[in-house]
Amino acid sequence: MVVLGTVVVVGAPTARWLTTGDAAGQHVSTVDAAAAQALAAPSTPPGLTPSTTTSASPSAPSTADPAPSTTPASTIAPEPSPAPTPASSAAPAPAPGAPVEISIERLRVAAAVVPVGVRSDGQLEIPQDVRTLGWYRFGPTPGATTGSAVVTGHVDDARQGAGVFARLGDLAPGDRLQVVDEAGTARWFTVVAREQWAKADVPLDRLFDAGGAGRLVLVTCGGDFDGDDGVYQDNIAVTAVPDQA
Amino acid sequence: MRRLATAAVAGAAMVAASVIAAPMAAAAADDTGTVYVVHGIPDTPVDVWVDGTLTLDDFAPGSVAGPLPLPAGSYDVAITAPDATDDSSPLLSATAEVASGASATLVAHLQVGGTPTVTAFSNDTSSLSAGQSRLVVRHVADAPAVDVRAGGAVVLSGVTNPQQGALVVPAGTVSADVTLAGTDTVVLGPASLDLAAGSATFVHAIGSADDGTLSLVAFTVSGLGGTPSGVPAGGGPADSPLSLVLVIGLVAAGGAAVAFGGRRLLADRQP
Repeated sequence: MVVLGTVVVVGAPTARWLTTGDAAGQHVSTVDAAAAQALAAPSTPPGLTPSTTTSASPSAPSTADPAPSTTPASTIAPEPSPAPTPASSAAPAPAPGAPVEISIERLRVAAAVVPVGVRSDGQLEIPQDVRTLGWYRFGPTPGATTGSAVVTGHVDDARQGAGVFARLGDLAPGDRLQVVDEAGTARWFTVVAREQWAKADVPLDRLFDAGGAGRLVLVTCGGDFDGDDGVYQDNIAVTAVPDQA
Repeated sequence: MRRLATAAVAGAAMVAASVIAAPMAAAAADDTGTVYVVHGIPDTPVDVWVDGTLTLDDFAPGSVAGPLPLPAGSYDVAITAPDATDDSSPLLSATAEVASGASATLVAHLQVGGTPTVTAFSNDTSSLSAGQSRLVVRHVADAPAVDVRAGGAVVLSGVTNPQQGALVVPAGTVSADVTLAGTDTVVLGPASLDLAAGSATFVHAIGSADDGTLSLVAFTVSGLGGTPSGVPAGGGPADSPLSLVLVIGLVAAGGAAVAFGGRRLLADRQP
């Protein structure tokens, strides 16, 4: 009985530590935050566009303008041609489509990506399944020339265990990752920054920036888990830039 | 051309269109306003002159120009035939007040009855919550009061020339049409509108119902969207509260077993 009791006393905490140690939020040092900040657009009040466009005819749409901007003066005719018909003039490079898969060799993960929006409380929607990542569909697309494309995933879940981004904080500048879009086109990105903030300090305007340089931001939870509120206290974000084509 | 020529002959085409858009607070540092111009009169291209300078050459019916950034102030806008050499004999003219930081639209269009005029609208470019989109519909056609339907439901009712109606909706694609007010008689559409998050879409119903020239012309202002308020990307470590209770219970039980078993051992060794 002494032996059994000793095994239980030592074994139970050890077992818990072994099984849950990886699932808790990471504490990582912020690396190269300045690099991420440098990619953001300078803040501009909305409605003011220092634009010089004076085209008097329907012009070709630009898909990824910095905020704020104006897109085409498109004529919408009644039937039989009901849809807006942007002038289909020279389209330079094929614009990236919605991402469907991301693979990150350093983390030994490859996960499906689905479009996500906003919850009724205004927070970012996160896929229920911790094995699935969510791309913020109201923002830029990974690989777009302008703006911050956001991909998110649960760090973990009480029932499902560790998520795809459980070790997101292990990524460091220089690491590479690949995004495949709905057309099957693969694009490579290289990490330039890793940051961790208390949730109150997260620069949401920068994470969801519609302007600035084209970049991909992977974001999850980190830090300590507040069991009372059922939330992690921090967010961890990794910023990556597309490789030149 | 017919309608504009008629108006010019009548010599009554002077219109005072004041763009009195409230400046946005955030724009205080900038003294520039933004102006769009919509040509809503069928059949004839025109030239548009701003303070005597040719600004829009051969401006086609059913098209939009802009955004034109203009320093805040008062401008004389003249609309002439496309072959005019100056703005001395305008078909239509207007005075536009451009306010600092404001966005406005000047629309050349038909009044009910077919007389051309110029109307100024203030563009609501206030910010939107994340995932929301604004739709603004302007009745600038020679047509009676209309309803605007989106997805089959009336979203704006009884809109008359030259009124506008606005609504904020979740971003997405909607099928919209325009009916005679209070009826199911479709006069325009359906048109598929791609209402992007963080953008305002300004749709203008132009032309003449009697002449069968009704159509829609639209432009979009983007970059108005807010951001999500947070990223709640963690559900908690696996079974955190439960397993902790289990561990505490097991440790207590194990401790009791050790203590009890130890005393039994000691007792057994008593001679």
